Amino acid sequence: MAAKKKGLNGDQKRKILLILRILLLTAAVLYLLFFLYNNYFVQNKVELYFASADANYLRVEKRTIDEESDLFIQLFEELKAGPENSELTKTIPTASRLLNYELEGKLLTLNFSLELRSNHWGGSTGEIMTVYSIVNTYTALAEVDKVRILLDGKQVETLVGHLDLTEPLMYNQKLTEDN
Amino acid sequence: MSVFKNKKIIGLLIIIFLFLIMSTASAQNTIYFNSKNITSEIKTVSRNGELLIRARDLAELLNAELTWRAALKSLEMKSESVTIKIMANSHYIQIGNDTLRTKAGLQLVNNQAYIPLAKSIEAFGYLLEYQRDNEELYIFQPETTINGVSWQEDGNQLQIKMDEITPYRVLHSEDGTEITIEIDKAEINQEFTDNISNNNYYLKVVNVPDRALLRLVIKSRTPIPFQIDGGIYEHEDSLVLSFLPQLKDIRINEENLLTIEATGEIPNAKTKYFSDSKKMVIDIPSVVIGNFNLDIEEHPLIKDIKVTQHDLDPVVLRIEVVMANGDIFKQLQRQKNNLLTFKPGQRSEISDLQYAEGSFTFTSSSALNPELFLLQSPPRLVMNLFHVNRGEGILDQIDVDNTLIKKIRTARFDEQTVRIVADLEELTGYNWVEEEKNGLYHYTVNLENKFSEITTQDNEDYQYLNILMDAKAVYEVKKFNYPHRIVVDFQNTLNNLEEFEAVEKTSLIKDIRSSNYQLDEQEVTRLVFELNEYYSHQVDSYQNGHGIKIALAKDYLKEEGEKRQGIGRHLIVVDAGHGGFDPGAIGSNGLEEKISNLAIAKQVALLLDQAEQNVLLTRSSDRFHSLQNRVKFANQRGADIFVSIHANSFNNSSTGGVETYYNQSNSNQNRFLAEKIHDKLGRNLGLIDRGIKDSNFYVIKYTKMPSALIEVAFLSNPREEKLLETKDFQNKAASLIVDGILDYLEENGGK
Repeated sequence: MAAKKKGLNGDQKRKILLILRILLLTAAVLYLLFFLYNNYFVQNKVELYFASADANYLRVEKRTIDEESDLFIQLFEELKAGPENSELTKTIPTASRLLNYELEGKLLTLNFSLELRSNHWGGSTGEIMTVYSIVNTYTALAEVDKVRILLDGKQVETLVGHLDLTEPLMYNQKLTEDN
Repeated sequence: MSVFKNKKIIGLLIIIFLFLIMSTASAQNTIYFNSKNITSEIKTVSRNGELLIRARDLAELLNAELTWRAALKSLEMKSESVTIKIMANSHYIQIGNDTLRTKAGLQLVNNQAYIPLAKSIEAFGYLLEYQRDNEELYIFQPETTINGVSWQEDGNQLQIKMDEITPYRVLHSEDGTEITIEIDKAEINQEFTDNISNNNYYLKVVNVPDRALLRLVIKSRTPIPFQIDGGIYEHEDSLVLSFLPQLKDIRINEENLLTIEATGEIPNAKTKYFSDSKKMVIDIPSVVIGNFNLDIEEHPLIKDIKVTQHDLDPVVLRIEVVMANGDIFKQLQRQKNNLLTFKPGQRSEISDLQYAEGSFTFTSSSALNPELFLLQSPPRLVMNLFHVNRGEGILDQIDVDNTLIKKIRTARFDEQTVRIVADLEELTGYNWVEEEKNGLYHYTVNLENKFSEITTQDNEDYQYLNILMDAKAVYEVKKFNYPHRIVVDFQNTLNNLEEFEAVEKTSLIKDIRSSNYQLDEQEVTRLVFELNEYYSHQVDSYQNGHGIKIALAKDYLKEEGEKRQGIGRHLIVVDAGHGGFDPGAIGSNGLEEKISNLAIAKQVALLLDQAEQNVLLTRSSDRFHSLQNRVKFANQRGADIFVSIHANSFNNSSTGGVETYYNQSNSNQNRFLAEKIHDKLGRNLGLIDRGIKDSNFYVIKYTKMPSALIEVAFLSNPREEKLLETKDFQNKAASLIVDGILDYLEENGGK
């Protein structure tokens, strides 16, 4: 009785420790599996947002990209290449280039060449589709929350006269509602 | 004992576990070699702010031969043709015959040699790039080698020969005198050659350490004519930069043909002739001056040739040719696109002389420099045209017989000159306009209109003002407040009101004044009718546009008056989108958004004014204002409502319709206003109703009053573009917008 009051006997201790050991080992193995899965088995599929034909919505097209090359540059190249689905419309004017980018925390600054403006077709709708196809595509990535758009390294009021670009933009849910 | 042993095992497990977490969570100093993460395969230490790598690991990575001379404490590493040597307690690395100072030098850690990573690996021709605040280090083998840079195609193109094209970018300095070509992961060939540097250009090759790129910097004393659009393309394994063509050669050949040759395509040049100085001025766009041959010396036809870079933005090359005799050179049909040819003794041909209301027009095959003057008794306007022949549609005489012109005659005045004479009723002012279209030059000579009669007339509801002109009038009627006045601006009109008896004043019309002033760089004659009271007005024309009839209401028209009185006066700012150098969207037939925006905005302003509202336009002419200024304008004046007028566009010509935008951030009033306006537009404009939409547009986001932005129709849709061009559609859209604004005011703005 006294021994029982004092504590657990040797057998019980061993059992508890064994359980603890097993638990820890399982945790370690699970973590290892998770780690390996994340690093080696997740497929590099990205979501690209293109305009619907009536330009009321943005719709997603999934694409596999090259794991070796720079993801951010590839996303823009894929957007620029336009949709594969013929019912969607491309949103990036020809000859536009992503000059460089910078990720600070979760704010992604994208610096485009002036062709993004000079070759643009204009209009509020045109501008919304272009800007948010970029913003939604990038903010769909886990590492990006907000996107700031620069032209030739400079802050601009707007791309073609409507949408405020002086502040970073976040994912636009409304434009994808009809998906 | 067993407990202790267990503790040891658990402790070990925890350490392993922590190690696993640490190795994945810490991204510090992750090192990639040819894109492969090798952080765990190598040992590194940091000493004196320099990253050192275990020499053995580096040798393994590079497949290099490593020799350690214990006696000298000296290390030698050899790979292909490169050998580096480094000694303990020395800061210097010897690379071939050069020595380089490092911060840490060779360090012995646990009896193993560690050497500076960056300096050593660069010595073996690898490139380094730090990313994410130096947390990640990338080591690359250069992916490409730049073999040479050279001028091609007569100096129109710059060819950068490389093994393979890697990502690159072209940057230019603000003043244009410097171009930088950045090429990623590139190294320079040891046998690199260039033929860039000459009198005009200077090439510098800069290796950017830590960023794994190479910069080719080209400087010039004058701006480099790099084509911003489409100026760079890839050709096999070369990058080719295109420059604007340069002037190459000016000569006159045996057949007396004057040729101007450039190193590339010459766009359409504009040629002007000045008979008084016997000079021909050729302006060639998009060509730069360059090093050219001028092969004309003591030619009987040409006295002097002067070549200047007339302008750089846009680029214009100017060639001034002074002729020995008075004859002109006429440009011949182009045979080659890099060549302009002029033939001497050619004359322009004028054709198609016509009379229209108060003006006459004709066409010329090249630009003229006419001389105009008035002669008295009999009163006539004379126009001398030099070096021209009369072609088709130039009659000797056209009888006109209206109040300004009796007839127009043409005749050859002398060997050089054709003369056009307009016989006038009396001497009057004139102006002339030149317009180039498809290579033909259209000339219009306008004679000043003048007032013929101003009368008033009355009925139960209206007071009428009748203004009769000699010719068809170009005019604009405006209404101003405080005090109420109606203003009529006439273009190109003589102010002859002094000849008139004073117009009878009435119960509504207090006074009439007139003045001349400049409006948008045009001289206008302004009539001002000061009013005692004002309710509303309408404008009509009569006698084929010679007369203007303004009807002033004597009281509120019953139904409208009742509605309006409940609303009260508000200040509404109407914003015509874009303007000036910013055309906005452009339709497939060329209609610029700024034009239709302004037309609709003006009509909105007019209708709101008639509805007893105070209105301000952010722009009343084709001017550019920043969005910030438009917002400031409305905020500072304390406007009650802000409405921005736009036309839409999308890169799909079938998309169409009308939509109205509001910004949710301010207040629900924004949405109410947009709803009221769109309620009218969506139903009655006759286009697809795209609905009201919430968006963070600049002008509606930062204005402090209820605001809306209206996209009336799509310019990118050819059918809607045609509509936007018509006065009918513009007026319909404007009146629906005004109906919506008044509806909103009635419900929400009575306060």
